[in-house]
Amino acid sequence: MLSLPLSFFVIIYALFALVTLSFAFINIYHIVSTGTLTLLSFSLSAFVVLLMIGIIAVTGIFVGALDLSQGAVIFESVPVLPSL
Amino acid sequence: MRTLSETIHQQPHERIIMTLRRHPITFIAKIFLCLLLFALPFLLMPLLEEPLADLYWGAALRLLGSAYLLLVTVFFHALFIDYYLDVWIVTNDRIIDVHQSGLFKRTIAELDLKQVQDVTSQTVGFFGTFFNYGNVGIQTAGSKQKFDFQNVAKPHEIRGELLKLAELDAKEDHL
Repeated sequence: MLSLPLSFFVIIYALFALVTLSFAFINIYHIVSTGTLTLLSFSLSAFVVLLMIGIIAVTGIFVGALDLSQGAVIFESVPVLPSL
Repeated sequence: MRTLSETIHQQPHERIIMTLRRHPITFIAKIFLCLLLFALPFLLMPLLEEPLADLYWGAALRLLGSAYLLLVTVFFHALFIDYYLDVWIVTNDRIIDVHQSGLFKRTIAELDLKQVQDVTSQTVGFFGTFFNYGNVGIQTAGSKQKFDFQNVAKPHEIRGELLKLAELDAKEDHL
C-alpha cells in the first residue's frame, strides 16, 4: 500500500514557488543589467512580483488551515492468490 | 545601476538617434493569451466541484492551481522581457541589435553605418498597415549578414532616417 501525506504536495509546491520566484528575479536582473530599467519595466516587474507573492500568500493561508498529516492511498496491492 | 549607454559602450562622439522596439500592438496579443491562461482554472472550477469538495484531493488540486497561476505569471514576465529587451539602437555611427532569447541567452550585434548598402522597409497585413508597423531590412556591404528590425513602428520613416544617417557617416569619414 502506498499512501501520500498532504505535506508531500506542500513541499513540492514550496519548491516550485521558489523556482518561479527566482525566475522572476532573474528577469529583473536582466532589466537592470541591460540598462532598460524604466518606469514601465519597473512597474510591470513590481506588479508581477506582488502578484506572485499574493498567490503564494493566499495559498499559504489555505495550507495553514489544513491537516497536513492526512494521506490518501495512491496504490493498494491486491492479493492474487486465492484465499484458502 | 547600468545605463543603456554603458551596455552599448557608447563612444564620446556618439549620439543615440533612435531606440527601437517592436510595436506595442504585437505584445497585446500576448497579454490576452496570458489573461486567458490565468482565467482558465477559475473557468474550470464549476466542472471540478466534486473533486474540490474532497478534503485531500481538493487541497491537492488547489495547490496545483496555485502552482499553475505562478507559472502563467512568470511566463507573462518572461514574454515581457523578451519583448522589452529586444532593442535596436541607432547612433550617428552604428546600429546595435540587442536580442534576448529566453532567460539565459542574449546576443548583441553591431553594424557600422558605413557598411550600410541598402535599406528596405515593408508593412505587411491588416494590422501592420492600420497601425503602421513593419520590418526594416538592412543589407550590408561585403558580408552576407543582414540586420532586420522586426515589427517596428513607422518602418518607412526609419528607412529614410537610416539612409540619411549612413550618408552623413560616409561624408564625415571623407572629411
